[in-house]
Amino acid sequence: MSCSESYDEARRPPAPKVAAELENPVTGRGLKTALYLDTGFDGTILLTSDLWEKLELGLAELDEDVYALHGGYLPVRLTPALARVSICGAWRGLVKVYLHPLARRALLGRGIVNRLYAYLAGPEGRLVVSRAPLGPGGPPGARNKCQKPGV
Amino acid sequence: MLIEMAMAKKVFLRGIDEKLYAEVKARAAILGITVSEAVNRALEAWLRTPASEVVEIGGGKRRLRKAAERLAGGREEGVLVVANDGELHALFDTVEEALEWLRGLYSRGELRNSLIRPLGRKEVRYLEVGGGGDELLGELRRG
Repeated sequence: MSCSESYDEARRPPAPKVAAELENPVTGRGLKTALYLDTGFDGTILLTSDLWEKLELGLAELDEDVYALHGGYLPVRLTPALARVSICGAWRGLVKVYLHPLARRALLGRGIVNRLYAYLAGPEGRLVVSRAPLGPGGPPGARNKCQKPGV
Repeated sequence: MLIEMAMAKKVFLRGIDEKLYAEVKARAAILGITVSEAVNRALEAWLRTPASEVVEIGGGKRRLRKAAERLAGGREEGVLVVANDGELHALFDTVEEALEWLRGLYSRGELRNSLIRPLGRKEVRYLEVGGGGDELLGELRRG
């Protein structure tokens, strides 16, 4: 399965983002949000306070010491928790997610991106995410919609 | 500690931990910002922290962490879960089993707070953040 998403054109320069569904594994409460692709982030998903509170992730919090390093040297304490995640239907799983008290945007890092095939069609302002390898130029017809292979 | 806040507001604070202040000063120096700027950003971060988290850190979460620390002692395998300020706890082989237990408490309306502790050696982990990092540093330096 693959999906194709338009870049966020409101950001300068435009930024690749992907639709995701997050669910609290204790309460079952879920929500849909956009995650910005960040291959510079070592972790899985970095959440804003707003998303954290809506999902009540304090109930699935992990007792672990984790810090975000900005620019390689500025540490900010993160709060880890467990969440069920679906990345535009192409990948789903139970993963550690992190609350960053200063984050203004939710990020999708290499902890998940490395399990997927991602194709950045910058000039077209589009990101294609797939569980299977993508052909040259990205999967045909995968434009701004989710679809199953061969459809 | 005398802090010069934005809008030239001066605030005198008593009871600041000396060691903590020294660390703040050292880190501010590394970042090339003043202690006032660092304090402003720390206060901003605190205000942006979800209210539920602030309450938890000050109360329930701290009790949960203490209980987890005590109960985890010496155990190397499994998953420990403490709930309701440490009044409840259980050990499981897997995270899924731990979540199932918490779901049960939640569905019966018996879960106030909880903390999941994977057992074994506790390590501090550092995660590099790319996107947003420059933005944050820019904010810190702008003051």
